[in-house]
Amino acid sequence: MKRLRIFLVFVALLIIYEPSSFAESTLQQQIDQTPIGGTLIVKSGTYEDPVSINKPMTIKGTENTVLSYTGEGSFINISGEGVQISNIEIEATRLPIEESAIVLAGNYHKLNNLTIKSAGTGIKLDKANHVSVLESSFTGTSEGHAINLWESNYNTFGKNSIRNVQDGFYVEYSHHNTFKNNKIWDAHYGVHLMYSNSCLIEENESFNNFTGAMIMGAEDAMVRKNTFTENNENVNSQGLLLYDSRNVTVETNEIHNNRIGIFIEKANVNTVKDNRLQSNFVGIQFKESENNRIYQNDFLGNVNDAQAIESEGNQLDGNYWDASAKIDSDGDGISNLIYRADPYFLALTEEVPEYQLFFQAPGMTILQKMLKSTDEELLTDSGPLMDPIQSNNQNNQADLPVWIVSGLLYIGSLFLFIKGRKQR
Amino acid sequence: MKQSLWKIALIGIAVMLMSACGNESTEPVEIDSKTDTCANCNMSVADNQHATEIILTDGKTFVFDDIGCMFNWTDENENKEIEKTFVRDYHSKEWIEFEKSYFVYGEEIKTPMSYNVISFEDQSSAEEFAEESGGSLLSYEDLQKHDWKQHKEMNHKETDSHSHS
Repeated sequence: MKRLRIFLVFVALLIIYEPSSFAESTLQQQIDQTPIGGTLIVKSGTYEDPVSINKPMTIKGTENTVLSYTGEGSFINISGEGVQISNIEIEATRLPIEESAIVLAGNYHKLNNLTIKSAGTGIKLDKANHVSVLESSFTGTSEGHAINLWESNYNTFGKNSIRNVQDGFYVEYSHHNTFKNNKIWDAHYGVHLMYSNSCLIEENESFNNFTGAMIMGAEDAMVRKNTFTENNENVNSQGLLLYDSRNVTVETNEIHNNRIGIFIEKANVNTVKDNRLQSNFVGIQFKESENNRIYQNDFLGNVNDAQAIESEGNQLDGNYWDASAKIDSDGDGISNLIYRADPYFLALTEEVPEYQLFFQAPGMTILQKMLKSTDEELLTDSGPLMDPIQSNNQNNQADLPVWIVSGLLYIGSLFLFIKGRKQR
Repeated sequence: MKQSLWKIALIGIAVMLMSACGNESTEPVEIDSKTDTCANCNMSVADNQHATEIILTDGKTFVFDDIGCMFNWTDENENKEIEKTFVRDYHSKEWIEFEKSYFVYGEEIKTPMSYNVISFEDQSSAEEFAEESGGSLLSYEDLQKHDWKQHKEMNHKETDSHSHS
């Protein structure tokens, strides 16, 4: 009887003191308990402590899983290989500027379908290679970057939407990275390459930023099929800036409504072709840059098409300049009149930006004619085109209704004309 | 009444004289990270400990995002008459006079344009930082002889453990 009582008390104690922590184990414990290659389904909740993952495994959320992180160091630290995270919203609103919500080292990690709201940086790649970040969204507080790369190569970033951050992508000493189909707005710089070679920037939309994309100290970059628009909020804004960079190809981009469409400074041997530069304050501007080739671009409705200062040997040929006078005597589609861009206004306003007030003032035009720039200082296109290269799609779409309406009018008037004749 | 007018007039003259002598105490201009860009490299200047500025005798101000950029600019603009040059203390981020500052250079120190030099108000905190970071202490005179190499020029190799992409 006594024994039974002791046994019952013991059982009762066990029930009372049963470690309830198993059901509510920490996130780190759950990660540690997941076998290599296994999957952990995380639950929404508030997490105070950072976690680290250093084995191949998958972390998933279910619908609307929100991990709210209240710590002040980076939240999820990944190393090793083959970690996959998907379907999670992470809120790290107390993070200091210099910290990141997710830090990756190692190789072959995959991040998919994440929503990251961070007061610091969203994701940092620190010596991480072959990582992909896809279909995720980032919102910041304008202080940290959405994605920051340091010595990280062969990574892919696609279909992400990024807003309200310092830089969408800040890429330093990181090579062979691909940025494709991302949307970046309300950022300082959309894409910012620093000393990073052979990167591909393709089919991104970068708009309403301080600068659409900044290519600094980078070589062999390809910037293709992007739209850089409305990067004009600031006196120093531009669609695309090439600085101290070589062998960069800028092709088939739509560059509209920026303060400066493309700014090339201290950058040599780059190629700019098949782009449309429309409605910018300055279409393309060179400063201390040589041997760049600019061809087959359309310059439409820019306040200033092109300007160059201390830049020689840049080859411009076969571009379309809508503002220039054109005569084509032999019908080859190339104007006989050489296009010349005079740097006079830019040289004047560089020293005192306030002189921009005198833009197109009659006195300025006279001064410009009097104080002629020497031929070396002029930027010339020896074979400017008679017609734009790229047909404007919007115009084509507009053509059809116009034809229909004018056709109806024509038939209507013909009908009235015939009817009028019959009545006589 | 007359006396008070005289007083006001005198005060006015005194104020004018004081402001005329204002050049003696040229004050640093605050950084506006929304619009300020580096006069050398065009990058925007963050309001942090790496920001520096040069004020010319004609009152024009140039800001830089990195001490190395400032040196590049002064090399290219030797004819400009400089009134004052300010850098910032690495710890307090307060403006300090360039000529009276101490510096630390180290390959592991990150700066916006990778020139890897930072500035300090007093020698002891610069020494301390140099010791901790494995960098080297530089006086203002040492800095004039410093070889401004960017991090990228220091055998920064492409590392890739599995290059089969």
